[in-house]
Amino acid sequence: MFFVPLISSSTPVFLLADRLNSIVATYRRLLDDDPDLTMPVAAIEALVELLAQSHASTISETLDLLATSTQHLKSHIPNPISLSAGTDLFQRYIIHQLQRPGGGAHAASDFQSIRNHLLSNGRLFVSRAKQAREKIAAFGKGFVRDGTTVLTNGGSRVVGALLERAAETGGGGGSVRFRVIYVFGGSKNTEGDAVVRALREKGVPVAVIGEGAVGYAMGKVDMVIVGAEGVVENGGMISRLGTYQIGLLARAAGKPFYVVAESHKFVRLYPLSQYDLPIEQKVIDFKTSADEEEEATANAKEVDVAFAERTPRASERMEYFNREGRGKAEANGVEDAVDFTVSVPVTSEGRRANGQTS
Amino acid sequence: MANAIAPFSTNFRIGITNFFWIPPHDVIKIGFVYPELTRVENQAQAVAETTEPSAIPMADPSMPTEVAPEPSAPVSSVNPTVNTPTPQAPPEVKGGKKTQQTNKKEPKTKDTKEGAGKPPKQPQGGDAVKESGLSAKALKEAKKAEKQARRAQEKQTAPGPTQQHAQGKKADGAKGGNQKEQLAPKGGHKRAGSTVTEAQRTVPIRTSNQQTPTVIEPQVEHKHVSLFRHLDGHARRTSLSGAASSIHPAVLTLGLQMSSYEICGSTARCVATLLAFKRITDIDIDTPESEAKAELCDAVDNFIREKITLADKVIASSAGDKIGNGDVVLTYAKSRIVQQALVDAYDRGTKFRVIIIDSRPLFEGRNLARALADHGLEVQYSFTHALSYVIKDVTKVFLGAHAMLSNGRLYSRVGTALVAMTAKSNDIPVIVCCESIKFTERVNLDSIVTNELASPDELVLSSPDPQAAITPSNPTPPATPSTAAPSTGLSNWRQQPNLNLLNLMYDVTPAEYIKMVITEFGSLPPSSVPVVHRMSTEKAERFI
Repeated sequence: MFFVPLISSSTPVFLLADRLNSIVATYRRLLDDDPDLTMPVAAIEALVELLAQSHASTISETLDLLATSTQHLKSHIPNPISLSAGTDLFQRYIIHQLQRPGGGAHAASDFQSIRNHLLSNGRLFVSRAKQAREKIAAFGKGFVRDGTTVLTNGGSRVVGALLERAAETGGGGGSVRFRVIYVFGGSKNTEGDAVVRALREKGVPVAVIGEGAVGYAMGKVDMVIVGAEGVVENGGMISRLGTYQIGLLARAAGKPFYVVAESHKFVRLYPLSQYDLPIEQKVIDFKTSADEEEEATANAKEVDVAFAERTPRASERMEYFNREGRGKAEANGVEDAVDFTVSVPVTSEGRRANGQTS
Repeated sequence: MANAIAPFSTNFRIGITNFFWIPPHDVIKIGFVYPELTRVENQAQAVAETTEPSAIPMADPSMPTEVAPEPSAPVSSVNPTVNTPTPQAPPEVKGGKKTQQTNKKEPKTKDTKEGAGKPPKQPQGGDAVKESGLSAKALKEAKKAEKQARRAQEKQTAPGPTQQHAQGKKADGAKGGNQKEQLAPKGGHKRAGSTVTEAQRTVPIRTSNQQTPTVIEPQVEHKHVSLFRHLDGHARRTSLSGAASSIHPAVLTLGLQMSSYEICGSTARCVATLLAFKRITDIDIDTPESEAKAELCDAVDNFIREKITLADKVIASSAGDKIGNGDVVLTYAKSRIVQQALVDAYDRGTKFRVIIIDSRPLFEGRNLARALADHGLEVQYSFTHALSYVIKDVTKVFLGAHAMLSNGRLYSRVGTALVAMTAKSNDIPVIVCCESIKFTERVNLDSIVTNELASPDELVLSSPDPQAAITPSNPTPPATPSTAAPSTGLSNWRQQPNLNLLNLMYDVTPAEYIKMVITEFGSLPPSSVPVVHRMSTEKAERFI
């Protein structure tokens, strides 16, 4: 179906392929444009935009379009766990809307009004989802008491909002005095820089430590607050690589570990272990020196020969062979990797905090 | 037994008893009745054909039954118990005669116009039908019942029954019209009740029991493990004479089948019970309530289809999803739904290995091992003593359930808790596959308060069995079974003053050992069991 890009652009086949590619672009554009946007909400907004542009005239057509484009989007994003929470939610919402008594699922003439209703409600949902962060911050700031030291990691905007709100409590001057230990992990830390800068500007003392120092610092910590990419069915959560070990250290030290996440990040997943996530991650990569040499020579060759003077490899010029392959998701390297933090059912401390904050 | 049908029986029984007077307790307790009776028949068969355990045909994997190939019933159970004077059991009553009467009175009930409300004719009157000679009329009736049952089964969409029925017919044919076998009440009932067909061929061989009538004094009759004394409330009755006359023969048959482990496992018990009730409603459809009865039958069929057959499919496929390439899956005893999940995963091309842990005296895992090996899976079979060694290789543990309790604990075949604990201590996820009808509002903290006691005689090794006799300690089979009998350590345990045997059926696995429960509603942590139970019972109430 996507093999033939030469067909004139008026054919519906090409339109669909085009639209599918555009949803990935829309999703990326939305995330780039609005730094406050979370991945599930961006996915929902992209789907709403797609529905608005589509000419689907029946319900099954709409659902089909939705399912196809969701699938396409998921397969083109390296880590679709967070995103799938949004698309699943939107799909459930739409099906629920269509099944409602009086939804008029049979009347074809009525479809236009249903569609408009869906679109307007979808936009309403997006705007509400954006407000969720402020709500969580308002709930959660009470956990940060005077004189506490909070340990956090990653660039979670919910955590940032919560800490900023806590710093502001008491009116501008910030009567709540607390300190933050921020854990830097990996090399990609532009988001972390922003959080640290914002907090320091508000007068909150921030210490920055590496991941290796978490166990050392845990004795001075009163509570750990982290964000999540997804909250899974067994009460655990999926987050930036390194969160799991912070959780384990916090538990070993008996420090409360709170997760703050919007409810649209709840995913229908039940991971049994770290390796049971539906994504591919290149975190553990065994090598011998022979492998390293091979890789080095392969890299050197690539640099030597100019692109135009050699035959492109299939992976490089996918669009020649298969349009589906373009922009195909690569496996996650260490920088983008996530891990799965298990909830401990006995104490259920984390889960309770979850229920309160989201 | 009571637990097996507990999740639905309360609602269901109300419906049934509106039409037919069934004493509610007897419906539940029927499983405890008359274990010895069937053993008499089993013996008769065992004499007729000495089937090797290796020649036991496998149960069809798709059918809702778990056949225990070797119930390993007591060595000396029959004679002592018949001789033992119990209030319900006059010693002169012969088991075979009784069962035949059960079979015979069934057509009579069918003819009565007022339905089953009228008690079936008491067999004690003077039905002088000899054990050896089954009348042509009775045979015809049995055939008729069988046909009826077949029709009832074809209504279900399950693919198993028809195949399996053919199997059953073949087995009957092979027996060459042995009158004694057809005498057994299950001849007609089992197809309807439980789809157990090969059970007759798989009963244990205890030839020596007849040849060596053990002399047992009546004073050693009651031996209890004091901690579990309260579980002994339902004394196993030894004949039909104590049965309330209002109990339908289909229900009596069911009780016999359950007590002899022909119907074994909670789902099989549940389906068989429902089908037995359906048979009762089949009688006398022309009564004023005929429409209601038809509706009830439909409800039974729907219930089985929705809550068991379809639920099993959903669970098997989502459990199969959890099995990945290179996995080593461990399971304990036999659960039909685990079997389906493993087969499902294998059929979609997953490469994995299965380790089956089994235990005495039921040996349920043997069936599973053979079925999976026949299907092409790589199977390793061990007993519980090997568990701590084989667990090193295991990546996932799949368990079936008898019930899921509302505190998230698992009530399942005895030994399950041990397996789950070993897995947990090795950081291996324990996954329970369980239909939501097995969820119960009951809360158990231990395996002592509520449990089921099986006959302690089952723990005694039946060494006269030539298969069992060849053990490392006893490499040569005994010359004659009768000389071997006294040599087993436990065979005379009733005479030993300080010796008690305890044969529990179930145990309770703590919730913290269980990582996930797969139901037809999705995967849950064990703490979500009460929520799903509430959800599904609300639906069931609407349904019934």
